[in-house]
Amino acid sequence: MKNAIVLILLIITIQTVSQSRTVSGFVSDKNSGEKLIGATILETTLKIGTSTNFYGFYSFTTSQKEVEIRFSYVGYKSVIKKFRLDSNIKLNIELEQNNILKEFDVIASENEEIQDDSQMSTVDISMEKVKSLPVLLGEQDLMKTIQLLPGVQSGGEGTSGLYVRGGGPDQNLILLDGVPVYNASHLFGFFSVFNADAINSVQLIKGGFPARYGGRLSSVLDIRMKEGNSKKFQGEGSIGLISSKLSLEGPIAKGKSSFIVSARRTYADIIARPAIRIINQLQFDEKIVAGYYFYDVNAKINHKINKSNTLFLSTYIGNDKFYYNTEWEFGDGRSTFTDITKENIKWGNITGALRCNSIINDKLFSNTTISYSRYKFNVGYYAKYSENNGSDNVLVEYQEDYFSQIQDWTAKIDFDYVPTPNHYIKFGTGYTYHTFKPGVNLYKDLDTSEIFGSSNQYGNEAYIYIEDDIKLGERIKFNVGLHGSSYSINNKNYFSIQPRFSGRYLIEETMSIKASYAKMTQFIHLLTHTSIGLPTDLWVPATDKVAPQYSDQIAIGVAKTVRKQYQVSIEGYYKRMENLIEYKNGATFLGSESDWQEKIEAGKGWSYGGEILVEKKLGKTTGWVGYTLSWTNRQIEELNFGEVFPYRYDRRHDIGVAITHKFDKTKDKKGQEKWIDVGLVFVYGTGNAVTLGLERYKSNKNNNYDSEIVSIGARNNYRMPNYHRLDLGVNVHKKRKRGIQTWSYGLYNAYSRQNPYYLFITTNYQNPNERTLKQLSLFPIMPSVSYNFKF
Amino acid sequence: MRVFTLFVFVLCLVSCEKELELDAEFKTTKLVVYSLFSNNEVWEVEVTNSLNILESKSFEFVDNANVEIQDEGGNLIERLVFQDSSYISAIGTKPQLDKTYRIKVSAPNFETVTSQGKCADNVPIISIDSSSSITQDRWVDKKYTCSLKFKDVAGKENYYAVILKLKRTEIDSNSWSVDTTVYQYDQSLYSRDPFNENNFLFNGPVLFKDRLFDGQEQIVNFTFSLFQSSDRKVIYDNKLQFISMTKEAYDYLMSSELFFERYDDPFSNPVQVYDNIEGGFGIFAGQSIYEIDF
Repeated sequence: MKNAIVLILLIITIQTVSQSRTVSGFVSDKNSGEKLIGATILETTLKIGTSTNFYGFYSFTTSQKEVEIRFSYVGYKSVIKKFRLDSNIKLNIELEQNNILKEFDVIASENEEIQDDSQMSTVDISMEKVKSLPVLLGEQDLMKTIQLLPGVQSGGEGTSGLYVRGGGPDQNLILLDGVPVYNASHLFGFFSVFNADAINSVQLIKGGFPARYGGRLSSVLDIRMKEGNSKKFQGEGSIGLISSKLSLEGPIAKGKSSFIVSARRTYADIIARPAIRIINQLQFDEKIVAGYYFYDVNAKINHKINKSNTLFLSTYIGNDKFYYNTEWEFGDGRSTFTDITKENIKWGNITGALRCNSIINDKLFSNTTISYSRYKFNVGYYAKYSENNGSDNVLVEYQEDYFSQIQDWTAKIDFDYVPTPNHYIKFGTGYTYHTFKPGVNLYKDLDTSEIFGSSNQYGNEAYIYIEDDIKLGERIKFNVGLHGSSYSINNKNYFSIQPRFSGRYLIEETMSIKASYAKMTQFIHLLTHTSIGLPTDLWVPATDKVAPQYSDQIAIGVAKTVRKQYQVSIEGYYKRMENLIEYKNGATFLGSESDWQEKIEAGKGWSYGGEILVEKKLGKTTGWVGYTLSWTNRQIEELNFGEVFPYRYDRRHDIGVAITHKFDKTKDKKGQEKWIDVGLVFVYGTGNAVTLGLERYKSNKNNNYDSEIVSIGARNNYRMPNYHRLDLGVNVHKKRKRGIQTWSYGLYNAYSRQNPYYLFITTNYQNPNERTLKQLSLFPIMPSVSYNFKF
Repeated sequence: MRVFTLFVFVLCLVSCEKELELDAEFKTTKLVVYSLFSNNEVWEVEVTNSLNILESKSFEFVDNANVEIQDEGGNLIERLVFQDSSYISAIGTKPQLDKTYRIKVSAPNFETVTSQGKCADNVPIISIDSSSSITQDRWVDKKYTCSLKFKDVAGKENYYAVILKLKRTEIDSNSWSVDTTVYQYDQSLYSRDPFNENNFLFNGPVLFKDRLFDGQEQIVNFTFSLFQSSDRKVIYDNKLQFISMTKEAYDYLMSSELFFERYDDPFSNPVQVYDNIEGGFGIFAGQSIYEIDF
């Protein structure tokens, strides 16, 4: 294998030496200096080209002497450069935003279109689209926009978890500036942790994974933060119903370094706190302080050390906290009694990355990263009771904590090598040191302090990869690669070689057929108990007893661009997964009396189906319609008596529609520009499969208490009612002296559909045999308004 | 967990409830057949009806059923007759070891149900040792430590249970009249043996397979406590059952014990009780009980 790789590199190098010259540099936004990711660089006579990488860098090698290169990017005016190429040159290009795009402006048609790309099952999400679509309580949410794509499902009403092609929520590699984020949700999953104002680009990959990615089975969500405006100081923010946010960015030293800081916080707790306190004081004579909040902060600094090297330091800090504190005090004339309790649940992520981009030569670019990621969850209880009568004092004080944590330290280096326009080689290696604390209890009182539960576990994960995006003539293009990984824990070693392939064959200029295969390995598991994305879900490692997860996925599809405006993709896939874990029958996540490994069973799963995506990216009306038809099953020997059962999110039909329309700009009485855009979201999904005991029969026990067995027949035996919802939104923008203001109005669940969130059976306590099956629904019609500003 | 309560409260503020109709497939009443048979006892089968979860009726014995015991090939061995609350062999037929039996139960307004099973091996207790000590805590209990020895049947997968059937009579003679109370229940047994599979239940029997000791003599160690009283007379009449059973009977016992243990626990994963009655519910499986006074 090693020899083959060396031989390929040698052939490629020989090819490139023959009188070729290289143009390389960065493509960025003219106003902000922000690097443009995926911009197209096309030599217009030969119709060959390349695109910028995640850092805006490109390298284009040709043997032509006279070249005409077009630099283009969706939503920007193209730039054409014509010059003679006698030697290698560096050419940094700045593109200007095109604010007067008309319906049939198709300047972006030279961009690599869907049928040209060797990758399949990949979607780039526009942040402009994320910001213009209506959402719950006006809180712009990247994850909820992604849920509207085919092959991606939401967990339940309002939640931001992703279930991609039958995979679990742990099988998504969510990268923020290359650093994994373990829990991407706030408020039990109702909001995602990503602040839309701080994000530059988002790419979702559902299959045919390039070899540079590894460690998860089902998807890669690669989110890149903005670098900060390097030309001028600017800011944007919003005031919403539940939270407010502010982003500031600007140059530190012009042309050398810049920064961006973005922060968000909810304030329901601050508003409600006095009311809760007063009501309880009056009603129960008890001081109660209770509430919930979340906040997150994104920050990034970059500094250009010299022409070839740039340093980036970025961080994300986000926390959620539910708290409930009581204080009760009374006296009987002789003694004073005080009773204080404090309860809380808190969880949050911290990520940090120090990165260095280096242009080693015109064709070779490197990115070196050292990063840290931590997710921590904690349930705490504190109680203090004191009795004071002047002489004999009684004091009882104790504290109980339950927490779990996963922490990673990672070092990695990635290279981009572009020897010719027909090859784009990426290779690299990385190492991660994992620390797992899967469920630890702490008990502390005046005399003792005790820690018990699952012990810490330490894992060493390393990987190496190489991939090449190869173009063979006009019709064939494919990305082939190999990802090798190793993992060791408790003296147990696992190795995995994962071949990857994704390719296209151009049938005609606007249409191609595509195929892909990817083997993936995942060395961590998420032990999840409920459907509502409780932060109590435990991240646990593969161990000597619990094997890593594996998957094989194949996909075939057709991609076509219709009338230069519509992109259509139809894909079919089959995915097989091994070593998926689930809690045993009757296992409970509370309590650490036994190790988590004793509470689980492992088995296999598979998913197959078809997806259709019709997307319009250009013009005043843009958006997409997606449809998925899929089947997802699980089989675990010790669960469901070994029989196959549907996965909870086995969703036969799933439809997602996201459309926005921009109206023409007009001028108000003061002569200031204003414009309106409207958005529409519609979702439809087959009901989730849930486990409900719906039949009962007499037990053989004579004991009265145990006289009845409630049969659940099979796991996930009952389908919730189907889910559907329509959201509408209007954004009214006005240009002001110092910037742009936007009022956003939204209507979530416009026809107030009572969608199922949870099904349960209630018992009439006066007649225990009288029961009712009920559905709990959240969020009827929910209007929202928010004020956004940009300066 | 008041914070969870608070979270639920917040959800309730924006939520609403709606009553749902049950899907038709769950509305059908089915036959429930219960028979754990042994070669030491005549055939006895209990037949009742199932109900859907929303029905407020009580379970009833189905006394007009046709209960047939057949051999492996489907030939009728005997049609059982209803007596008191179960169907029994009128001629005193007992199942035989190593034979597979089929059961077919039909009744008006019910779908016919079938199942099949075979007897479990007879495995006697070779010896039993016990010692006791008084534990002084809030209650005055007597703690017993026991070792039960038996020989596993070689070359087969065998399943076992140790159950203590307890009958306690308390006589309170301190008051102005003599007050007698009788309690009957299965006593909780605790075993630290590595093969014990019932280590997740707070109450119940010792349950295990022979995977670790196939064909060998094996000792099962377990402890339990019996209530004693300083102010009233306590009389015990206990039976210790050592049960050899088929996989089906074991799965049923194991899952039903767990079901009752986790009943109404909102944080527990749902428990499926094993059944092997095609078209209905219940269990038709063999077991062999070796019982001693204890």
